[in-house]
Amino acid sequence: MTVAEDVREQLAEALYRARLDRRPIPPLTETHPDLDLGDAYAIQQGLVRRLQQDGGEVVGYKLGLTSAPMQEMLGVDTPDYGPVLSSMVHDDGTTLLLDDHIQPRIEAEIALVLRAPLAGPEVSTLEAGRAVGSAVAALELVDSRIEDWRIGLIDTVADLASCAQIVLGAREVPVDGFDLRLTGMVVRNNGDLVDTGAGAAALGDPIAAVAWLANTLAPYDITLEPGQVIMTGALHKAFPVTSGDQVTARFDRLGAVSCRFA
Amino acid sequence: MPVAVDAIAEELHSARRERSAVIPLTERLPELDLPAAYQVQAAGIRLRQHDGETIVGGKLGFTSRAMQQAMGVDQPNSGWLTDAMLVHDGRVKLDTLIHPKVEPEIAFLLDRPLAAPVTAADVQAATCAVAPCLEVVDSRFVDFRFAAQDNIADNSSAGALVLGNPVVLTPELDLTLVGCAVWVDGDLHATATGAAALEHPAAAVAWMANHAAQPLEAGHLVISGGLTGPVDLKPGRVVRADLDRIGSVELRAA
Repeated sequence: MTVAEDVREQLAEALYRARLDRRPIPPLTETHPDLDLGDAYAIQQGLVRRLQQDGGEVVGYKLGLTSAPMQEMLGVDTPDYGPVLSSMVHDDGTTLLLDDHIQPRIEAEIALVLRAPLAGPEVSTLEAGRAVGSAVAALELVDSRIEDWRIGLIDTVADLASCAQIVLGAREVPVDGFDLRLTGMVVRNNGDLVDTGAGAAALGDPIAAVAWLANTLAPYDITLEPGQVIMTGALHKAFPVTSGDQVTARFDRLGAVSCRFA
Repeated sequence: MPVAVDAIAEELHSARRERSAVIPLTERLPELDLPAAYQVQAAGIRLRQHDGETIVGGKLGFTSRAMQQAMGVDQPNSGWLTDAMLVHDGRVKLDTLIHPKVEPEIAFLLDRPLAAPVTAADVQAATCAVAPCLEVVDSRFVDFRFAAQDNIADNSSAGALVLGNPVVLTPELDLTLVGCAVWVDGDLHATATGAAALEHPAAAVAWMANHAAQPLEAGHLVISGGLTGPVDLKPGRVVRADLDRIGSVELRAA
């Protein structure tokens, strides 16, 4: 870490305020060019503490930047993560309010639920697969508290990996006996096909995304716990939504999940 | 002024055999409309038959909305496959092509003829098996520059195709949700599902059955349209497509 703790706290507060007031702030990397990735995750922790004080506990994690095009756009070769709080998680069919957000975009992904604890380092994809019990169809509303989505890796990490809301399908499906890499997904908006994708879009394999997370959390002595939900990354290019839109993602084997925007 | 169908077909036939791309027809022949373009395509197929080739099935093009929008059309197009296009050993010879690109597709093997009018359900009932397919598209126009009419006259950019092992099409297999991952030299290129082809691959085949001048016959192979963006084919490049519950197919550019 390269910046003082009070600066990190100040930036966490700024991101928290931006989130509450729905007023985006300039990229942290422009106002504080010295920030490194360690600072960014520390700022993220400060933001999570503030959100927890408003109610909500950590129920899992989301991965971001899991596709080659996204990593290339930000000039990085790594994904990122952020905790998912219970206050951000919604049931299938929920209505999300656009006014609660700044510049939201929706994406469909596979959520994995752990049945056994998983701690890095050196977790292999095979081991991660053993710890994963089931998969759930999921939507993530991403939003940036940074102006015009002008984000670098540091900015999005500090900003909770640009997460806003999670919508989970109503049923868990055991992942035994099929290949999540090839599990197909069709996302529609108001019935019109927007995009298609398959699990491999998330870091080549959603299970590999879980292994990456466990290994990345190891230096912080964080163990992934049974029951935690891992959002493994978008299977298509995120798209903006407007009031009245109804987005449905249908997954092979996992079923559908949808939400409406007002 | 009527379009010189046979002369244009000859020009494209030579362009293909000599691997020498030509200027798009629509830039020279503004009167070339869609029916005339299909007449040129049919004349081109007759030239290939005269060379000893046999029709083995059909192919769809422009099956994604993105491609249709880019081309300013609101429907797909179709072309014909010949036995000479089938690559049996997975080695695609670059010295037979101009500027090839590869797309993953779902291939339908028909065991009954399809005469218009047909629905997607009719197509599935007439299909004994589906197979993973890599289609090598190749345009006979410079820089892949073409309008819809050019592409149709040029047999929907048909080049070559590699088929994986066919599997029986069962009612449980929802082709719209079948996942597809394409790997180029081991790196992920793109993912998609069958719905990327006209919302349903069987609907794409039905479109051809309903619009083509010739019927699709028992024993025909129909490839239902690219599911992802194309991969440029370069010497030594290995492209693999994995289709969930259908299987894999791989080619190497030789």
